[in-house]
Amino acid sequence: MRRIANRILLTVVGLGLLVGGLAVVARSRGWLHDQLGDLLRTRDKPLITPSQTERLTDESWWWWVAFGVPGLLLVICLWWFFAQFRRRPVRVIRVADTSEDAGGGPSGLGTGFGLVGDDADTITVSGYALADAIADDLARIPGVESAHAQLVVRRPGPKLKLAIRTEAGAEPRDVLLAVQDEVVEHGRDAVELHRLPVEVELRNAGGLPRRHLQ
Amino acid sequence: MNVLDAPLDKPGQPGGPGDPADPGQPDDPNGPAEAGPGAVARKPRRAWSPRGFVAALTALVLGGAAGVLLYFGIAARLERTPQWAYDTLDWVQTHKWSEQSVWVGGAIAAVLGLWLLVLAWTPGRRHLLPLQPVGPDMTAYMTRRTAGNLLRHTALSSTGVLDARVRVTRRKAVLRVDYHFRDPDELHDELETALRARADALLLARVPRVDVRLQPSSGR
Repeated sequence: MRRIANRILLTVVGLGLLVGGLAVVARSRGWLHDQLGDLLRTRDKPLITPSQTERLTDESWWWWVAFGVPGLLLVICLWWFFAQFRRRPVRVIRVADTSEDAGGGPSGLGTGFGLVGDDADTITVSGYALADAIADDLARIPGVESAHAQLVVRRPGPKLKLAIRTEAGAEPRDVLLAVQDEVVEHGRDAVELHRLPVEVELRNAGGLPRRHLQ
Repeated sequence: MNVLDAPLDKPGQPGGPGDPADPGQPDDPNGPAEAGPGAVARKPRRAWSPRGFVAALTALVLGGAAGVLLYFGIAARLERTPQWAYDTLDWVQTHKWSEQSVWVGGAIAAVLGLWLLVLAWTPGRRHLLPLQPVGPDMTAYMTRRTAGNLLRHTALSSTGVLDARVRVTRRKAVLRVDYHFRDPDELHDELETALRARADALLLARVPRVDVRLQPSSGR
C-alpha cells in the first residue's frame, strides 16, 4: 500500500515539476511562440508585475487560496513524510477460538490475526515470538549462517519476511526447500494460518566455501 | 514455549496446508518443476522498492515550501511581513522571463520531475534477482553479489584457475578469470559448461547468459 501510494504521489509531483519546468523554459525561451501567441510575447516582462499582485490580492477568494492550498499541501506532506517511518509488525496472532460459536476466521476454525481482547476462549501468540521462533528454526537449517524473520501486516493476512545469510558453499535450492518444507509449513501449522505468504531474501557469506580452503 | 513445537497432528483443512488434495503442495521436494500448478503458473516478478527515502525527501521539501508559503501568507495578513519576503517579491517583480536564471531554474525543475517519474515507474532494488518459487506462497530473491559469489566458486574449482572476478546483471554474468598452465580453449569450454550448469541450478527466474573472459596470469 505504501509502495503504491509513494509511487502515485511521486508521479504526481514529478509530472507537476516536469510540466511546470517545461512551461517556464518555453515561456522564457519563446518556444511555441506561434501556437501560444500572447502568453509568450510577454517574455520581456517581469515574472509577476505589481499590477498582477494587486489584482490578485483584491480578489475576495485570494486569501482563502493563499491559506488553504499551502495548508492542505502541508498536511498531506506531513502525513506522507511520517508514513515512511510507520512499521506494521504483527503484534498478536489469534491461534484458536475454543468457544462453540467459533468459525469466523479464514481457515474456518476461528483463526486469523490482529489485536484480540482478553477473551478466555482465545489462544493468542505474540507475532514477535513467532518470528523469533521461525528465525531460530531457520538458523538450524544446514548451510544457513544467520537469519532474521519478521511478520508484517498485509491484506488479507500476515506476511513473513525472511532475510537469510547462507554459508559460502550452501545451495540456494536446498536452503529454500528447507525453508518452505520445514520452517514455513511448521510455523503456519503451529498458528493454524490458512495462508502465510513468505518473502525470502538470500545472501551468502563472502569468501570461499570450505572445499576450496582444504 | 516455542510455538513451532506445537503438535502437527491436526487433520488437513480443506485447501489448507495439510490437505493432500491441495495442488500447491509439492509432493516431491525436487524443485519448482514439481511444485504444483499453483507455483508453476505464478511468474516471479522483480522486487519493487517502496521508494521510502525519495518519498520522505520529496515530502520534506514540498512540505517545507508549503510551510514557508503559509507563513508568508499569515505574516502578510497580520501585516508583519518579514524583510526576506519583501526581498523575494522584489526579485520576482524585477526579473524578466527571458533571463537566464529563469529558464535554467525551469530546466532544473523539469529534470527533477523527470527523475521523480523515472523513480516512480521503475522497480528499483536492482541488487535483487528474482528466484523461481519453491512453494505456492513464496517469493524469493537473491542478491547479485550472492549469485556472483556462487559462480565464482564454480570457476575457482576448475584446475588452473587462479582467480575470478564476477559481475552479474539480470541478463548477463561476466567472469574475468586469471589462469595458468592450461590450454585456454579447453579451459574456456570447461568453464562455460560448468558455469552454465551452475547458473541453471541457481533457481534464477531469468538465467543470465554466461560470458567467460580468460586472462593468462602475468607470472606464467
